[in-house]
Amino acid sequence: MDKNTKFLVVDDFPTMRRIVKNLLADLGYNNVVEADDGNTALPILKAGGIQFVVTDWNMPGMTGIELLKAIRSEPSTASLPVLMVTAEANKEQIVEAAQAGVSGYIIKPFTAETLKEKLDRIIQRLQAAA
Amino acid sequence: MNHAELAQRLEQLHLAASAQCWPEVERGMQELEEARCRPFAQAVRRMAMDLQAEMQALQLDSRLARVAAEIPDARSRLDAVIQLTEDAATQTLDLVEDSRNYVMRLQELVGQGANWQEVGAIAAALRRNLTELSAAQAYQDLSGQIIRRVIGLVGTMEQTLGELMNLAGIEPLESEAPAKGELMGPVAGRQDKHNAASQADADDLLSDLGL
Repeated sequence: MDKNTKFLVVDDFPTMRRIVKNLLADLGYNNVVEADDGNTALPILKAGGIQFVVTDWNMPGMTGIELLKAIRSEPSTASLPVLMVTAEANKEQIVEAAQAGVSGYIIKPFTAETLKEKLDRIIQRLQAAA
Repeated sequence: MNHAELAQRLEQLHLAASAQCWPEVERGMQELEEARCRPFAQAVRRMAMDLQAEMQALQLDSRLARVAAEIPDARSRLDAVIQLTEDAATQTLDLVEDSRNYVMRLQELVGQGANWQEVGAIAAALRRNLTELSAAQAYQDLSGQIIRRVIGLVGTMEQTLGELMNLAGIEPLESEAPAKGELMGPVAGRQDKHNAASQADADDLLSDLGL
C-alpha cells in the first residue's frame, strides 16, 4: 500500500494514540490524523481523504463499535478498512465486531509485530479485491 | 386489642358514622390503625436494637466507619496512579521519539560516510536517553505501593461487608454474568476469564467467520 495512505487513529487515551502513531511511522506510514472518540472521528471521515481507520472500542461519547457501524452504513465510507485495537476480549464482542464488518481485531496489549501482521493482511485483501 | 374490644370499637364507630359525627369517626379510625401497627413497629425497633448490639459486639460499627473514612483517600490515591502512569508513558514516548530521530540520523550518516564526531555525540545522547528511560520506570514502584494499600482497604471492606451480610442473614451472590452490551475492559487480573480470548483465539474466531 502507498506509504502516503492517510490513517485515522481513534482512541480516548492520548498515550495509546501516540503509540499507534509511532508504530505506523516505523512501518513507514507518516500521514496520520487523530480523534478521541467516534463523535470527533465522524466529521473527519465526512471531510474525506481518510483511507484507513484504526479504532479503540471503549470510549466515552461514541464507542468504536458504534463508529464501525456508522462507517459501514454511510455509502462514502462503507468500504473503508477498519482495524479494531481494544482491550475488550470477550468472544461475543469479537463476533459482534466481525458481524458489524470489522477488517481486523487486535487485543491490547499488543506487539509491533501483531500490528504489522494485521495491517499487511488487510492491505493484501484490499489489493486482491481491487 | 382483642377481638371483643375491636368489635366494641367498630360498633361505636358505626354509631358515630350514622350520627354523621365525622371528626369522631376519623379519630376512631386513626386509633384503630395505630393499635394494629404498634406490634410491628415494636418488632422492627427490637430488631434494629439487636442488630446494633451485635454490630457493637463485633466492632463492626467502628470498622465500617473507618473503612468509609478511608475511601476518599483511596480514590484520590488511585487517581494519582493514573497520573503517575500517564506521566511515565508520556516521558517514555518523548525519549523514544527523540532516540528514534538520533537513530535515523545515524542511518543517514552510514549512507553518507561516517562523521565520527557526530556519531560520538549521537551515542552520548542515546546513552543519556537510555538512562532517563530507565529512571522513568520508577512509576512502577510508586503505583505498586499505592495499589497495594488500596487492595488492603478493599480487603477490609470485603470482610466487614461479609460479616454484616452474615449478621443480616443475606446470602452472598455468585458473581453474575455481565449484562449484554456491558464492556469488560482488560482481561488482565479479571477473576472471571470465561469467554476471554487471546489474540490467537481472536484470529481463529475471525478466520472461522471468513475474515
